[in-house]
Amino acid sequence: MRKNQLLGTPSWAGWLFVAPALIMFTAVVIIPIAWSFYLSLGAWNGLSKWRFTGGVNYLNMLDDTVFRQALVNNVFFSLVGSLIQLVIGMTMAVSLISIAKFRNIVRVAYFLPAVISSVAISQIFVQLLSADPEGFINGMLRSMGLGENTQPFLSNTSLTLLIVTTVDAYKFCAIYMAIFYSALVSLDQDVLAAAEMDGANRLQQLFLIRLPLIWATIAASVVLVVSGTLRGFDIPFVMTGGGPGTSSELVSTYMYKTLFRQSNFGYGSAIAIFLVIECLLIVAIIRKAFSATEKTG
Amino acid sequence: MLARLKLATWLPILLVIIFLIIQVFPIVWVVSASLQTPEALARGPSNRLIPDSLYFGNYVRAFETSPLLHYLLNSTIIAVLTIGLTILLAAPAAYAIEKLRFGGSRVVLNYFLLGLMIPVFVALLPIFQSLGFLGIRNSYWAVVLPQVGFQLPVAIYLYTSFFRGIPNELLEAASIDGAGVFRTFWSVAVPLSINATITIVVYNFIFIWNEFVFANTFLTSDALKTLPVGLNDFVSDMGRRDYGATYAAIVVSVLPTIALYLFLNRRIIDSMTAGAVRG
Amino acid sequence: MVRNMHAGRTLAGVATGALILAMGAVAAQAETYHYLTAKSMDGPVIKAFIDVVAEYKQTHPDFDVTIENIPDRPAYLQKVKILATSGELPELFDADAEPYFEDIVEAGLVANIGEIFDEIGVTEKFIPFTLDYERFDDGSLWLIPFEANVEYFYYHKDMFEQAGLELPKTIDDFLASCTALKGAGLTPISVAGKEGWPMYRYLSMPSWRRMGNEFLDKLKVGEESMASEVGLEDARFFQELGANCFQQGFASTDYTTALNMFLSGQSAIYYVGTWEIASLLDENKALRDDIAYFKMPIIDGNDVTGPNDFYAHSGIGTAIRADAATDELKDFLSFMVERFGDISHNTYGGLPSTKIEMTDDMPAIYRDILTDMAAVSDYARVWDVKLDAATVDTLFRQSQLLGLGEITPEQFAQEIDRSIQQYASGQ
Repeated sequence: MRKNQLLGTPSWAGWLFVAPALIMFTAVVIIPIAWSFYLSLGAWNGLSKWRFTGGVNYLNMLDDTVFRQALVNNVFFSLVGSLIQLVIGMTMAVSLISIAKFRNIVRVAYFLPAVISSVAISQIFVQLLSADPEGFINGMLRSMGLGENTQPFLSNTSLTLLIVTTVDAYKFCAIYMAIFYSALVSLDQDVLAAAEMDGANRLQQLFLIRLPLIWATIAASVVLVVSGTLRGFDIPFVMTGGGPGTSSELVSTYMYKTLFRQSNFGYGSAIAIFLVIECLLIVAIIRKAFSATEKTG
Repeated sequence: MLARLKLATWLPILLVIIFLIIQVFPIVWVVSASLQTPEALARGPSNRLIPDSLYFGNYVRAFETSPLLHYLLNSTIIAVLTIGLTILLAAPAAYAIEKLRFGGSRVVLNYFLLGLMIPVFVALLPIFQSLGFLGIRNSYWAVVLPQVGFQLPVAIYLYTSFFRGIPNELLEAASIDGAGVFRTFWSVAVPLSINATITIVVYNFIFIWNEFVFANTFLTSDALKTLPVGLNDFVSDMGRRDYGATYAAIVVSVLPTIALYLFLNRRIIDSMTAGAVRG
Repeated sequence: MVRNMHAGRTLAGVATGALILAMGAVAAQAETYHYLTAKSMDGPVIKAFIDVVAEYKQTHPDFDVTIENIPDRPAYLQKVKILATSGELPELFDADAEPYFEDIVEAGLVANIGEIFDEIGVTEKFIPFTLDYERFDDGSLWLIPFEANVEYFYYHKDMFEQAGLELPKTIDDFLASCTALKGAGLTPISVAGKEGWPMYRYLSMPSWRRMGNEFLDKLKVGEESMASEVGLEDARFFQELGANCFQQGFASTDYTTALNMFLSGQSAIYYVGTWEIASLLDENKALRDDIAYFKMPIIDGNDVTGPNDFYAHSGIGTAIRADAATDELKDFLSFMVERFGDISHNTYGGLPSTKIEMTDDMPAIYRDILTDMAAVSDYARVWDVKLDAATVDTLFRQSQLLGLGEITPEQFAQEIDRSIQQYASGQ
């Protein structure tokens, strides 16, 4: 264990630095969670008296077919979504550092989907994917002679989950591009120059030198992207509303419906607590895995 | 050998071009769609990337129905306050966690990281009630404070991983020179972390600029509406939406963001070339 | 001018913003009522409402209503729930007479509109079905209706000609016309399957013809099953519509798109209520030349409900918070009932919930609609209002799947029954 503590800094100074953030965070995020946990142990419609029911809400989750489907969908959404964002983000960053000119403007262009609001981007894609009246993508397929592939994409229950996952990943991948790019450009040029002299080609340089050097950044990004996708909401909610059926329902969209459509605050809170615990576990596993590779690597 | 060299040169350029087309596509589409007449839009979604008409009526209608510039101002004020406050709270906290390593700092970090996992809807009801209790509902703070709370974990997380890269010797040298802990932070760590700050601003800005749920729930006065909430001004009974005006409003809401990114980009490049940060 | 106004509002906004930053929230002024509405700001109801308030202010300068509008329904409902839960409902807000609103009533949060209307003597001024629609099953009334709607099937005359079709009288005719239209290369019906209600309207037609509202009333409490002969007939009808009549990908089509498809001649039939009438009229306030309409088809002569009975309702109603039902507000209400219908109809072309005089210079279509409204002896209740929210959620999912042919009518019935059982056992 490295000893990082700066010389002669008293402990109270640390607490002083951290206190404002701590108070703010506790008030806005932690207290509501505690409150939700309390709600999850009872039945409440927001108007009548809260009635203690113990773990009934949690038990109900087990039999709830919609919830189970949402959970499976969520795993797909997070896994595939994270993978797309990281791989595309990295490819974008690498392609960007490999070009000599126009980096600045290209970077801004890469960023465009990220700055359009989720609601807007969902609406745009709903239009693009429309079948009747024909949207851009079906029109494109037809004019390229791929007419047999035209279809009502967002009414196809075997495609909707993949579509919302892709659109969500598409919107956010530029964030990881930006993070990877900053990390890659700030690498020591001398190391790279030395590697080049040793005759390493571009790909070798990338995989053997650059990526290991930014491993910490990659690890941080994995945590960010996974926790982000686990909480994904807007795009599936606006594009498909979780449907058709439960084909693109996520835990978060289902929770929203339970809380605010059905006013079932007890059950909705239980789903929320479940989501928090799920996130905690998955992120803990990821961090464990990364710290293990860091030690061996 | 020659072929390899060519591939190494051309592949990145090809990739960049492909990515550019994909990434720019929705903006081009929405700009083009925003220039179509309502009659054309009613026939179906726009299939054109180059508009066949230059009809500005959608923009006129968008500005007539909805005080977009006013929303823009609100969104800007909220974004500036939120980001400013987030940075102000996150940077010292992360510095303390990573560099001061006080007793319990690891626990504090993990405590903050909990926030990465918590969905915002959980917090709506309690926050709504506490805002009422504090008497700040229906003010900018009603949206700013909750957002700061939810942005803090990411900001702290990114700052700590960044501060890890600053050699302790640099900081210790400063404190040996007689700088107190606050001055070391302020005059050594803060200038060094400009790059991380920009990353955090860029990252948080995306979420703050597009935030809908808090703004919709905590603000009731039209005078405080933000752009994402304002997009619903073009919805009328039974969810009928004026798509032309919506597209126009989307274009209007994206423009300032692009300007900001162009500006920040320059800033990043500058800080790079100045060699401010070298792992 | 417009720009100036916005600049002014911007400045005012900054000023208010600054003030709020300095002082915390602004205190509500006395005699100003806040109205949170899900209705559109540019629809006839709210426009007329604003005019009525302005007229009333001429004699009551202290009175004012500020309107906050959230037209997006999910966002609106979310906000109302948060407000209700926090005990901070505004003085006036919109609601349907659905089970959650029943909870609000039970909690004593809203005023009894039925009693107020009797007290100020205005009950007779409303078209009866508009009040009935907002009532609970026990007959009590807690919501003010503002509009009167009936729902028709609109169709393109030339397309029916092209397919050699007569107006469908029965549900079988109706399905046959889909086949004929499809045969002529047309999209028979455009429907907004991304919204729930248009699907439920179609779904409920056979059972309503066979049993009237009895089916829904019993279904709701678990005394009738979706798996019964009548229930399955509904499900089969809807599945056939999905397979033969609706546009491709109907489950992801929103309201605007479905309507636009019809208006731009890309579908032959479109089912909608008279709240949308303005879209279907030409500049002379007559129904567009190429469009006509028919009422809900019957099954046969044995139907419980007649050809003149169909969907009629008054849309989302407005509740008054219990403590806001002051004498002043009651006075305003009686003034409003007096003036609203006239302004709503004559100035903004709306169909108000209050009785309006049928005059000769009224456009023909309005006269026809008013005649149809008067002829209704029984009107169909709306499923998504009567059923509990969890069941409506199930209904939404399963209807999409049923229409897409992903599940059988039997599976559909089983899911709906299960959801209703769950609700009934929880009560």
